[in-house]
Amino acid sequence: MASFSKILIANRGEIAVRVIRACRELGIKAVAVYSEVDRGAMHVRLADEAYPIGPAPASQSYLQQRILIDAALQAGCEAVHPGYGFLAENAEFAAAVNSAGLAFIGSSPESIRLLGNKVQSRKKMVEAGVPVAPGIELDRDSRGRAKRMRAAEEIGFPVLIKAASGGGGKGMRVVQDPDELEKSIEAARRESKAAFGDDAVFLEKYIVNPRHVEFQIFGDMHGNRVHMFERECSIQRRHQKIIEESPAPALSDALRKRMGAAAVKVAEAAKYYNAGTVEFLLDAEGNFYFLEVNTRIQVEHPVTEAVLGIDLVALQILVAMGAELPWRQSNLSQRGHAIECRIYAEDAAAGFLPAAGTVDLLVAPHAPGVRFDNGVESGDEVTVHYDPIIAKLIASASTRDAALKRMRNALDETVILGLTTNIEFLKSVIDHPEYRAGRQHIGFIEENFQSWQTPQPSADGLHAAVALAAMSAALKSPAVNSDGEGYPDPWASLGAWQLGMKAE
Amino acid sequence: MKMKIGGAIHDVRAKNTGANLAVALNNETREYEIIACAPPKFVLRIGDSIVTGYGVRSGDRIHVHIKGSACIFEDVSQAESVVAGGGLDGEGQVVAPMPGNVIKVLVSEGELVKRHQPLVIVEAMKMENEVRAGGDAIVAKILAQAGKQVMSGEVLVELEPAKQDHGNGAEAIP
Repeated sequence: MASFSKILIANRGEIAVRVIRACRELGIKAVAVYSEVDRGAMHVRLADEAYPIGPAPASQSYLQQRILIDAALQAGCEAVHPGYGFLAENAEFAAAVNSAGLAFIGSSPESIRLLGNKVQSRKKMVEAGVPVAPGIELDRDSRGRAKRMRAAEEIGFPVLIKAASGGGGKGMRVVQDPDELEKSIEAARRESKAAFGDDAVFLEKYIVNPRHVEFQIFGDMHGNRVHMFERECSIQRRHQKIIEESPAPALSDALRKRMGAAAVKVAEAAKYYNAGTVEFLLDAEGNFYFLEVNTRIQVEHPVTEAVLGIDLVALQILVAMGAELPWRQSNLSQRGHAIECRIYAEDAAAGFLPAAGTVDLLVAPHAPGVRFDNGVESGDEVTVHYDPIIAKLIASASTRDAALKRMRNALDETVILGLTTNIEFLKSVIDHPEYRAGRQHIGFIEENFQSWQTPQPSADGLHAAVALAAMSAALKSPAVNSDGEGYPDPWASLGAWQLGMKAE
Repeated sequence: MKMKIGGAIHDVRAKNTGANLAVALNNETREYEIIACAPPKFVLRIGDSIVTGYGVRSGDRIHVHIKGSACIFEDVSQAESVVAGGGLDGEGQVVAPMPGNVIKVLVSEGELVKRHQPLVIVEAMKMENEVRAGGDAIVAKILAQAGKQVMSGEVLVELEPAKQDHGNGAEAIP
């Protein structure tokens, strides 16, 4: 079995931080890379070594395959961890990493290529007997406007336009109105090109109000493949998940078994190894449709870690070294319930507009069963160049209800000041009686939170907040002085003060 | 001083007398006991209740976290009135709602636009956002340029009222 002593992490933000921590536990040195705006970022601060890879736009830095591979070779790494996003699902990158004599911590280029092409993978899954939703590829040149319209009408509006090499809702558009078809295809292509460097898109039947239920799969390079049960990720805004949980409230044991078996079938059909996720849509009647496979670690992997007690990122590294999976399917079971909230720098009251800025203060919540995976700390910048994720908050407990209460408290105790975050919005979702009851679907946010506004504080709350604001306004001292010598006593230097009062 | 919170402007006065803090908000005065002052963390007591919170100042803004919620105060004692965004009457400046890149300008100067018609596509964090007209209007001037970066609040398009006598052959708006 190979053994890695140093790994290059071809990513940034919270997932780079997550991989660095796994490396540290395994006694492996972690090498970070950074664009010009990430020079002092958290993942760089935590790394053992760090290399600059270019200007801020991802296309000139985090997507530069040659530069990343050269950095890995220069640093003396044996392997590359791609994280999620950027090059994580790029088969050419995986192949190039392998050709350079490095291990790619993920599946084989062949499997990634097959599953990354949503059109091919659909065909393969139909052959393997996995249920899929009807859909059609949109070829840019050989099909005219009329042909595209015919295809959409055949499937039946509403249709979904998806990036062939996409994920995370980027390059995806729901089209209700046939008049919007061309415009939406064009927008999807532009987004897809910008996000994935590929503007191929396809049409799929839009299944109304399904649940998004996905199965974690894992394989080793010795032919062992298991599923690690499901995550329900139906709470989405702009087709991007914001709250995920495991187990899925809607699954009976029988349905869970059937879907798990289908997920393993998908893994077998693609000869898949390392961590992956098989996504399904589940309708109200209990029919499920294969959606796609994400050939990487997922943002929401911590809920599976909590419910199974497994470190998925460490396992990714071990499997890439050639280790066998330490368990068979029958050894795995779910225990308790876990929920994840994604904390974004965005304005939920203004259509979830990204809200870049400086995190003036970040205080993570601490409590039993609470985990906080952050990619920024106090003083860090959330820039317009990358995903606006600040942190992931995970709460786990023995039951769903207990996990929800834990999550609610933890959200209250999470302090992020300086920019607009979606924390208030997440609380409103967690408090919604339908969500509490586990009745969710992927249109849940659109249906229930269309005109959501930030709740106004109570009279007492506002008064106390003003008191704190007045104190903050009056104090000129920094929280920590430049020598890092703790807190100065502002009262000593300031004495009695008053704000907004005429001399009496 | 005048503080703005969530769109509303409040009259605020505060007086620190050693161990206590008197705060008047819109003429309602309350007395807090200061238990701990370790910026950015503050602990106050009012009646039997402990109030723990955080506050940081950045420029004219004061960010406060209290009882699980974050709020932003703006010191508007000196602020002038600023026109931001195309108004409902369709007049005024349309500004970038966040920093990003201009992907596409969808209108041209002199064009008649309708309420909520997309004017410019701005991309931030790989998501495209349409900046729309606040009301029926005529595009007076386009400052946005495709491919250019814009700051939050930067003027993208200037609109003027869509009157019938304004512009050549502008049709009545239904």
